[in-house]
Amino acid sequence: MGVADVTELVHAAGNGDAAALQQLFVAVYDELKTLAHRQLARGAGATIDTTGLVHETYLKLVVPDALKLHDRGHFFATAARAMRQIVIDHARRRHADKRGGALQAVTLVDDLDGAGLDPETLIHLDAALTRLAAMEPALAELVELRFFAGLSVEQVAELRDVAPRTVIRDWRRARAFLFDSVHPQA
Amino acid sequence: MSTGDPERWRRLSALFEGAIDLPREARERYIVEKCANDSELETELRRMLAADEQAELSEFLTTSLAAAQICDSAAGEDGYAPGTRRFGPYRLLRLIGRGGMGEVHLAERGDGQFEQRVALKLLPQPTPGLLQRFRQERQILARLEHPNIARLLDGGVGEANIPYFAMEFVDGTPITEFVAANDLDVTATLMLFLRVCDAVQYAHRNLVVHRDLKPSNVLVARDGMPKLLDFGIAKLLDTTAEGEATRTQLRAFTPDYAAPEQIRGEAVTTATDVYALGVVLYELLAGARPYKLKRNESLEQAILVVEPPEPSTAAASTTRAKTLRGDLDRIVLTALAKEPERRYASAEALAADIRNYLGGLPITARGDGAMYKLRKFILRNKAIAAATAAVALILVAATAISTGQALRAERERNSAVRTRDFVLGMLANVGPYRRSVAPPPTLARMVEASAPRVLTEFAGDVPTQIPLLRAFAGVYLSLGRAGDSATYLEYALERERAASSAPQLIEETQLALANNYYYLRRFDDSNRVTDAVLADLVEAPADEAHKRLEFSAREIRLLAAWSRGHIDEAEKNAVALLADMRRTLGADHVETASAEGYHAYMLIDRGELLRAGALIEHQSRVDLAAFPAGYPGNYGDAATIAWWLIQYGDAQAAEPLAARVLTLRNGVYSGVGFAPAYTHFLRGWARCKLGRHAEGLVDFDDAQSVLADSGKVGYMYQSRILLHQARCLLDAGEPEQARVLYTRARDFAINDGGADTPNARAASAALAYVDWRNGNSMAISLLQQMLRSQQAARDPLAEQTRVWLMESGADQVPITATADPAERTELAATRTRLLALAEQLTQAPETK
Repeated sequence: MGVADVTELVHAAGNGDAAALQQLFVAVYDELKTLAHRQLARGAGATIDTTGLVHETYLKLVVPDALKLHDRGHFFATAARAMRQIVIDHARRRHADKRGGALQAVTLVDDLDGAGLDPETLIHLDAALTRLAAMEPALAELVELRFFAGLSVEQVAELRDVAPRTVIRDWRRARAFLFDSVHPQA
Repeated sequence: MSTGDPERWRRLSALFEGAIDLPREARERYIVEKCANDSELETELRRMLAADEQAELSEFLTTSLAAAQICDSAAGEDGYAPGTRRFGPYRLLRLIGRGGMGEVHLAERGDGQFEQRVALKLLPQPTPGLLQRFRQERQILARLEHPNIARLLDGGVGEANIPYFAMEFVDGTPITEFVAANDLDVTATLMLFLRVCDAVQYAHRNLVVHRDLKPSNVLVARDGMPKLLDFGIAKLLDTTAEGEATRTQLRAFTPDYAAPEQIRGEAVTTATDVYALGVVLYELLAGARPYKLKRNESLEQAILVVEPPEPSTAAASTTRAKTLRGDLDRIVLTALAKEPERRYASAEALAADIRNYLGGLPITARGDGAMYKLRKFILRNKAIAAATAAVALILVAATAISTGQALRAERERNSAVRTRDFVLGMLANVGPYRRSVAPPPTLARMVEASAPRVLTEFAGDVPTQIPLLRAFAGVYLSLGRAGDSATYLEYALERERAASSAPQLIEETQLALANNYYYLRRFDDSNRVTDAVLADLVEAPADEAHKRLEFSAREIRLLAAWSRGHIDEAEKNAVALLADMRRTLGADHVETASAEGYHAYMLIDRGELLRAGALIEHQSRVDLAAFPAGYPGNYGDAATIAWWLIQYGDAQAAEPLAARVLTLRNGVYSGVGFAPAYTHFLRGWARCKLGRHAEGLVDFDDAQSVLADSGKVGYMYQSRILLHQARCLLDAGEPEQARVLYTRARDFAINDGGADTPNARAASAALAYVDWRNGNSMAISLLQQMLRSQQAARDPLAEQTRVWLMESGADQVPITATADPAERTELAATRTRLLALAEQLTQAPETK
């Protein structure tokens, strides 16, 4: 897939074209997998900084200057959405097939527990996130960027052109909402 | 919590944001007040706040999925072995230590999904207030993210209500054992220790004092990286135990490494950690601890009253003792001073002095007598090729003889002959080297052997002695050894005064001395001498010879100001001097042209490239007309053009030009002294700009080693070179190394001219930026503050800070004026003309 195509996809996806988004997932996800494999070849169990991966993917797919900052925001939001879908799909599969734990393939999200969450919680989280998006879409997107794509507060602040403080405050609101939804008894 | 109703969610959000920053009591009042008639809202708000707190404590969503590890194993979902002791997600594997504060276990995450091994510290006797404070402290500790500090990963309450910390597990050996097992030499040991200092300094900046630094808390992993353990634990324990009976038990410092104030139960500060670092360093270098106890003497008593012996006297081998004697003794004992205020003020200051030692620079922990500095310069002396030696020797003879010719006729022959004999004697003295396997005689060696003899052998012949002293001063300076040069000029000056030499000769010597002082960064001394000369010249006749002396004095004065970062003063005086020189000497005089050269540098720093370009053009044309091809001064003009090109944004053209100048200058200076160092800097910076970081960094290293060899460490650009080198490291993805250099740049800049100077500001801004990149969001306000002062002072590196600030996502900072099209065209034309001139300036000398 060429640079022009990806740029176009990002634009289309940014304008709400679901098919373009889907295509972009595929492009990004394949790229991520390739990178993950390459990383693994360097040593079993190597830790991958997926932020770096996404970034590298981005740099690889898109000439840095080809997109303006505005488009970068779209790109990362889109990539984060992609990550969320991948993760949740994966969680659903695992939840459905609890005893079939022989997933030999390398995927980015084998270690959901690395984030302290089991598949069931993740599925609840996804639902809560959808509810949050209905009330305040930007907040749901923030969670995607931070939790699913691994962007730091500062990176999000840069993308959104706001102060890091603002991001932190939003993050706390979103997190409180999600925590409460996922742990209703708490 | 409210779901589905955006309006209600907005209200709740606003109240939530208002509440989260309030302290507990104020928050309570706030909730009651704001939700006065809406109990449902109140319930929801409380629930949301509770969720916020719980989410924070359980680190809900804190580790992003993206940061999770990848592993290629089958996803094992085995249950836990029955009866396993669990603490949160962790399962104990084995006991690895037991101390006053509790037990340390090797543990792993209980799910077996991936191998994360942690060191789990258990506090078997939690007290009622513990958990509350525990949570507060954990937030501080969680901020400590440094490659040389074992991270606090987690904490909570496990089985039987036992609180636990999960720390990064470091599979390593105590630093003392590591150094002994690997037989590290002093330099390698110090490099390792510097990393430890940096980690401690990092914690101090985050307001965390370790309090219990000791070798078993400084482990070195197999890759040679030291890691500090237990950071902040000691402090945590002290605060939690406040006023409780367990205090003594929990104040678990290790007596061997405890500072006097800890023994006395006094306030513990960052100086306490400096002391412990001193003990560790003592042990690393001398192989023994500082205090050898006499009978009936307790360790505590010894720590309070006994002055530890110098590490060199405790060293096992005589070679080691010899290395330690002097500087390292002083550094260690300064860290071990009984009174906190006599110690290094910070781990950073200790590290800086170790770096001084490693770089062959004078250390601060010692009185800075002239003899001490002189010795440092002599130690820094490095071999110089024999060919250079021969050439320079001829120069010595020639200078001495020609100066001799200026003396009265009847003395002339006698003086010249004696000088010639003396120089021949120098050669004879080093003769044996030529047949031996020893290294070839170096000029430095010959000069060192002979120069002192001028003082004795010519004591009765002052008219011959004076030009010889001045000649040796000149040779020392050409070796880049300004300190020795100054010493001989001081001798010459003393004798000239005693012999009532011509005022003009005395003034010349004074100016040469002032020039050396300024190379040595002894700016106050330099100013004192130039001021004295200028005062004398007021009464001198206004002929051209005296005018030129005055111009020299003013030039040294303003270059010294510039080197200190007193830019406004330097610029004002440069403008005035240039005007006076044009009037008195003429616009096309080579000395006027040379003044245009440094004025051009100042204008480049202000971003005035057009005016700078015009000056450089004129300077180059004058020099090309006045000097033959291959004249070294022409290479200097070409270097100025390279700098202009880089600032213009054309590193592509600047890089090959700098490379050409470097080759030519190395031919002239044999790679010694400031000119080659500066040219390495130019090429290195051009390469960094082109993204060729690795090559660029090699150039910077070369620049630094040439500078370290030459002794002209303060000349104009030391802090500036460091700033650019650090920037290159930053771009190359080495923020920690960059931080070290930024710190040094700041130290240099502050030492030279104070904190209120461009390089100090630039370094502080850069350090704030690096801090921010390390996750310290507080650093942004410092960055903003620095940018404001940089912009107010029109600092050359302000633009960099602006770009960083943009990157940090803080407020948008407006871009300053962009060039208008006409100016841009003119700049492009200037670039073309300068490149053509550079071509001419870098012609090699014509071969005959």
